[in-house]
Amino acid sequence: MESSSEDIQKHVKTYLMVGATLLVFTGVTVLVRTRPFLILGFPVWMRLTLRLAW
Amino acid sequence: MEIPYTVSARRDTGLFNAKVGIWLFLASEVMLFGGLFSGYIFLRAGVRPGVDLPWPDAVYVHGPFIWLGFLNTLVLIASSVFVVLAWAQLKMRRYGMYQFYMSLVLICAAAFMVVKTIEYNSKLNHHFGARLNDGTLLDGALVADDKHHCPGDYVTFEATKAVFSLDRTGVFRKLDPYFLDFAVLKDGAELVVRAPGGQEVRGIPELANWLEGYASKNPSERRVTAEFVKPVTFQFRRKEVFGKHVFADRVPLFRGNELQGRLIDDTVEIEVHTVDLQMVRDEEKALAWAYLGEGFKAGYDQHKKEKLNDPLHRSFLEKGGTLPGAQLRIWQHPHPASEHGGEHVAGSAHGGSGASGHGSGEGHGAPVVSIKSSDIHFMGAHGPKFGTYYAIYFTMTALHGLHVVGGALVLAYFLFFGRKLYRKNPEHLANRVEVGGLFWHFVDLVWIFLFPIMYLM
Repeated sequence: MESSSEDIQKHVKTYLMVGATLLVFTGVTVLVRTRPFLILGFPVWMRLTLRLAW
Repeated sequence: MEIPYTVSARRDTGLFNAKVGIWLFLASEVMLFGGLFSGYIFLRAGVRPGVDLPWPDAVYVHGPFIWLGFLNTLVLIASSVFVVLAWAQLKMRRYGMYQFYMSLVLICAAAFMVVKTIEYNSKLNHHFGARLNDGTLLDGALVADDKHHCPGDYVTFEATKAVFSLDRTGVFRKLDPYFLDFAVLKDGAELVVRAPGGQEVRGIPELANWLEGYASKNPSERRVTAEFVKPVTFQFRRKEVFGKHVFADRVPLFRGNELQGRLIDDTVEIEVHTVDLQMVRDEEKALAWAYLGEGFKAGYDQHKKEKLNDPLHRSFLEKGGTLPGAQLRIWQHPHPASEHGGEHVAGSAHGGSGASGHGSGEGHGAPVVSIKSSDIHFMGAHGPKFGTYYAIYFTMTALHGLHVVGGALVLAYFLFFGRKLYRKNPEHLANRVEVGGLFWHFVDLVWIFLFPIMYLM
């Protein structure tokens, strides 16, 4: 089952994309849990900022 | 004999045989881990509020290990990418680069297991919790005794008599003669026993010899009582006391032995990092404050106030939400002195507890308190016995760890013994690496699920 070099590179590229996505989403999940205000608090902080600004 | 379809695909399946095999194996693995994940869900969903012990907050359970768990996730994801790169290099007939990437995979596997070992060691040997009779949970670390290197859960007993069992098991006798040598004699006290005939025997080895002789001369006797010439003070680890329970006038030991005399101290010294009052009816009257003092209580009250006044929480409460008890009724001391599970720093963390048995919590470090064992409902290291969460946590992470070790061994075999096969048929080795890589991806995938549910949720 020989594969061409292009096929393999394409395969590798897909895996790299999957790996990068997993890394990013794992990071986001950890941040949501340990620093919730950074992400989940965003709408609240925005509302407070807007209220203060008005 | 040449085994068919190791390289070329079968016409009926469209795959080489090993690939069919690994997918079937992975299907069975999915069923194994699927069952465990389902078990986790049922255990967690089945907790009855106010009746069962609350499911612990993962952030408090793991503390800094959340970041190590995160690191392990990155390491496994990277290793999965490396295994694909190793396979690609083989396909392109670059054996040197294949070796390089496969080595990186093995380094990642080793790093994962090292972190896991550090984490397990911390939980099993350093972290300790005690649930008091009113439901308070005090979590932290046992305090080491500088003199005896004995953990904080020891019993001090002044013995005037010893009752020795003369059982004829023989095997145990050779391993641990009469089971007194684990005890620490306090303040250099000498053990001198007056035997029934009036003979004085000095020291534990001599006592063991004398008991051997006595047992052989008196085969019908099952027990013998000897008096200590002067009362001797012993310290025992609680786990060496039979049933872990001591009485005011006697300490039952394993295999039928017993010490008689007077109980001096039966307290447990804990450096308290976290107080959890989720199971306490009246927080103000919690038993915790009798030990931790006003300083710690002020910290707890302040934490609760801050949580309730937090804009995010207030906005949630205004919409009719209720904050879970874990958010309000658990407080972690801001400076747990030995949180990393390494050194116990009893001196700096005592916070005024001294010998009185009551810590103040007003110092900079977490307070050390001496808790009466009669106030303790349950205590132990953060091992599988500490609660349902810990049981499922150790079951699943240990099983996953075994898979990491198994997968790494297979990949190491391909790395170190693959050259001969590569020379003979490089495509065959590439197929083997592909199959091993599929297993490695599965191990990675299990961790991707395991990490958030065990460390974050």
